[in-house]
Amino acid sequence: MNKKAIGFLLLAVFLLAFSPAMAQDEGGGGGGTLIGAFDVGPGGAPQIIPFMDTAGRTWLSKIWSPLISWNEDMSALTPQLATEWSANEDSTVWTFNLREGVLWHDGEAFTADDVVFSLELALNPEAATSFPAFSQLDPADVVSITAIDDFTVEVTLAEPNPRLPFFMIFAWVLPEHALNDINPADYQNLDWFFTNPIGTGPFMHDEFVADQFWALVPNPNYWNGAPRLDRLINRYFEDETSAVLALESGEINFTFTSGDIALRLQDEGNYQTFSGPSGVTNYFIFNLRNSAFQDERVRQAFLYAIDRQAIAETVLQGTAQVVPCISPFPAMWPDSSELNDYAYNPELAQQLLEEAGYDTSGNFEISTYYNNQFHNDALAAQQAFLSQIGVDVTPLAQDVPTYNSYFYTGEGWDISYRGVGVNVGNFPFAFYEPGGQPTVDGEPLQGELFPELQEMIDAARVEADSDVYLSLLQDICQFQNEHALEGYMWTATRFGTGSNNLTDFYWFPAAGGGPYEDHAELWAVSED
Amino acid sequence: MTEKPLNNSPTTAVINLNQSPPRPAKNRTLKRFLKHRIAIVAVILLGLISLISLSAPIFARYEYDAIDLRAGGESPSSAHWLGTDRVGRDIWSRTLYGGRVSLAVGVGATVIATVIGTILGAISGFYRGWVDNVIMRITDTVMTFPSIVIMLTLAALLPRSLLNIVLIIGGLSWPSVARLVRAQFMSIRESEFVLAARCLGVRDRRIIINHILPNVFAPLVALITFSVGSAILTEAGLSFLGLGVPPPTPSWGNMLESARNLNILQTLPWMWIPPAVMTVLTVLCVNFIGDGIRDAIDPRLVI
Amino acid sequence: MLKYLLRRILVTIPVLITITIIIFGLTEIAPGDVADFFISPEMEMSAEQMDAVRARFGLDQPAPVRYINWLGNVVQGDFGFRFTDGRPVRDVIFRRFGATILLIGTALTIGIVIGIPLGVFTGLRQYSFWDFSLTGISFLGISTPAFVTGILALMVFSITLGWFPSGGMRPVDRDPTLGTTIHHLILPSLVLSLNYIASFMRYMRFSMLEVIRSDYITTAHSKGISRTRVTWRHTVPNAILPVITVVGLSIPNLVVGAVFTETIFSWPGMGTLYLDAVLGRDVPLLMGINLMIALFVLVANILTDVAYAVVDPRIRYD
Repeated sequence: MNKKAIGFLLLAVFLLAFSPAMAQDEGGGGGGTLIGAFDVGPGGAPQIIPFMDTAGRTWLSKIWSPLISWNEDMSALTPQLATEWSANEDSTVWTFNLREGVLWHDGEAFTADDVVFSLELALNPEAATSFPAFSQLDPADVVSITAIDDFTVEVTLAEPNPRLPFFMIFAWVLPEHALNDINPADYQNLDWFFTNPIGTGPFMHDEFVADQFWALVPNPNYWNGAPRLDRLINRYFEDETSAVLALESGEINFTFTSGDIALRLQDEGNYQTFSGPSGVTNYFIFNLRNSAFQDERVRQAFLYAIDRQAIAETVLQGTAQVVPCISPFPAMWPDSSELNDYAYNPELAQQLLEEAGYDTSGNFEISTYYNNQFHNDALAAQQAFLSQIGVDVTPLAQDVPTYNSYFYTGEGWDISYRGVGVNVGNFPFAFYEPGGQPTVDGEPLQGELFPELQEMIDAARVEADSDVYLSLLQDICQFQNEHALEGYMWTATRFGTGSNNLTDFYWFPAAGGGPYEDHAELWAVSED
Repeated sequence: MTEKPLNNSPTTAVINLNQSPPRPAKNRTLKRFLKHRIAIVAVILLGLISLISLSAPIFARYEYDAIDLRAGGESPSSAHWLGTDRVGRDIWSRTLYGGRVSLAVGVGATVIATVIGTILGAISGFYRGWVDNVIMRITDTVMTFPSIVIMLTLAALLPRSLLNIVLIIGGLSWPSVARLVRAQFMSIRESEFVLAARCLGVRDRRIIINHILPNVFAPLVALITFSVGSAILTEAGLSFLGLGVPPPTPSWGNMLESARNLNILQTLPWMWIPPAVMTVLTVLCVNFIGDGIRDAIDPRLVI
Repeated sequence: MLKYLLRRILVTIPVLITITIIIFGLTEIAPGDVADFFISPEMEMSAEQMDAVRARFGLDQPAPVRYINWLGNVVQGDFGFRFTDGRPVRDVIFRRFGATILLIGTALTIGIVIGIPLGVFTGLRQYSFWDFSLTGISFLGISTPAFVTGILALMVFSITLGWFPSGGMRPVDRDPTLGTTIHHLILPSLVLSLNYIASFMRYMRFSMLEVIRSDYITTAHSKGISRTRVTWRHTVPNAILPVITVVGLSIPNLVVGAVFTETIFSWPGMGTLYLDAVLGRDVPLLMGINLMIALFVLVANILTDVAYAVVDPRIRYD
């Protein structure tokens, strides 16, 4: 080792030893510039305004903080602006204790008034935010939101809601002092979000260029420590391909990647791969108004006929796992001995169809809003497997509004290939209840056909004890599996790919982008 | 200075073809066309492409929708001449079957657009006046129509069928033909030979068909060849609105679409190069046939 | 002529209104509305919640009322707010239109500068080796979708060679300058221009062939004027006019026609905006864009009609 090298080494050690201290003095920084395509992929959406978001929360949570968020891998909730939360016995009054000493980006102190202001705004019908839909909070059911003191907020509900905290991850907190004189009806049209928005998150607004990027600088006062990055930039891309090309050309440090792309980049070795369960189950939903599907043997035949395991392993390159019911997480499944795995068995499928007297002359359309290679290939395989037992189906791709306009009325479709996000806190009970989706016209699609399921759902909805609740979910899973209520296919692993020079970067494919705890204050980009 | 100022030459706004000596008889045109070697090669090649597409079941070695999950994404081999796609479908077979849809759409839509456009453009450019005004305002309206909104609406109203796809694409692409033909007519109807024919009392229909239309054909050839190619690609674009040919029916367009996936583009080129080559070949053939017809009906050209 | 022009402009108004009524009607008939767009298919939403969203956007009113309101506002210069992000439609269109003009203008210029001379060249040498090769290449260009050429171009010039940025309109670490804009513009405009080069070349070639065979060119030749002189002083200028007409006619369609190029190069232009508007059932944005395109087409058509009369005095309007 020559002198020069030793010199460099000493310099490096010196810098390493002192840089955090120096950085602290400057209020963060020194960690380089991280450019990511944070709004590419199913969890992203280039959305700017809190409470109008339908996804893209990974990025929004850099500027604004919610009361609560998921933890790193979405296995539990973790405190953000609320440090503790508790409910009265019947889960109608919820108390949130707030973090003290938090400052807004402009230096003002954060208090309970901000939380009350934000929740009232979000629930105000005039502002027409997406919050009621995501939080499943009917504004009419919220009796009151009050600040007990500077750091305590009490929410009183008309109906028991034991899982309210799981929905408070959508409760962004906005600064009352900056927004208190807006007209709620103008909320969506405010320029403030584009020019000088302030939040309590780890990063502060720096520059927003429409359709191009949004650049942030570290918030030196962030309650969890000043971020190491000098700059954090979200670049907007029209689709994944262009983002991947930008990643490969070294212009960005991170993007969401589809399974096949992620695996290829991983093999190349120059990238870090981030992956996790999508939390989304892909399945066939049968329109039970069609008498052909009311016989459970027909539905079971669909499952036996399709070699789901083979599709998951080959077409989906092992990036998807077959599921027994609507829940994508094993914790929500009963013991495997209680589940039918519907292993590939075309003979049995054919036999079931015959027993059910299924008329094979018809052709069913499988409507879907998916339009990518992954699902196209899966549908091609499903179609081929079904044709082997004499069931003719035709995939029909639709854009999202078209799809929804049919799906939610229950008219004009037979089978739908779709996905639904399910987690412990947010189970799509409404799908199985009369009056719930997709039964907007009030006609029960599935609910009244299965009173037994209805009982379990009614019990689970208000169950406050998490162990009892989980076992009820397992019972529901067992019921769904046994009766092949829907054609459960698989849940995919989703991927993100980052450059090798990222340090302490963390990403998780949370549905809608979370929000989840990603410790953005620790992220850094090394110089080489 | 020997050259005359340009204005003195019989300049027209559109393509110059105002001196029209007597038109050659029909069988003479055919003879002239037959002498056009490249055009003949193109006719034969296009015929061949159409033939193997129509008789795809004979030449295909697998069903176009036969999957083989264990043989997905294989490169060309003796078992699969052009390899397989990700679910193991044979690309050679899919390319053959794909030709049925794509040729029908490419040629069908173009014929519809050309026929509608030529008739309306001819009437408009020949009669002028209020007829012209009405037809051209309709053309303007269709031209400004957002085709994707129309397609979206029609996708919801019409059943999916090849005929509907052809009708929709053709029905939306005639305005440019109409405007081009009208411009030609406007210019040619003022030329001496048309005036002479009118003075002699030749009927309008005869003037239009025998004297003007042949002259309009030349600039149309370029437009027509482009529209064949774009119709083939448009069909695939419709599929995401639920309006393209329903899967698993292949078309060159929807096979080409798979190249939008980065991995397929890079690592499975046999999935998209064959349909791309077929599309290019088809468009080239149409172009050369157009060249040949144009040369054959152009009386000034000695073949 | 003046009378004709005045009449044409007056006729434009009812035509525009008809067009907007038809488009508005089509968006009504098309399945789904903005509320349907807002529900992620992966979540549940109750009928009341969807009605609340519809009410927020005024969709609870009958269609004729909404159309009249829209028309009334447009007359006053108010194009409304975009449903999906609440931004004023006018601002969004203005911004995107600028980006589109830059991209398409550059690509058109490249197309003309390269395509026209190639057309002259192949027109003069019909059925030569060069004619065939360039014809072949141009049809390859036309038949290859922009996503294939775009991605391949990025792989070579951005990833492998590192000469050009992989997309976007400007750098994220410094303010845009003329230099950075050109740097970002080169690759997408070249890819987009492939199509234009090919079509201009073809149109120019056809046009050249027509003019070459006309009597006055033959006369010019027989007068003993040099070949080059005939070509450049007589043939090319006469042949280029119809090409310009064809090009001019297609410009309005080009405005929203570069969807693939815009997508691959993350170029925020009108094509992707329009697609987003349709897929999001964003009626104010959709109507705004359509109104703009309609105006564009109508003006372009009036101008070409006038140009015919100016260039060819035999064509008269009355």
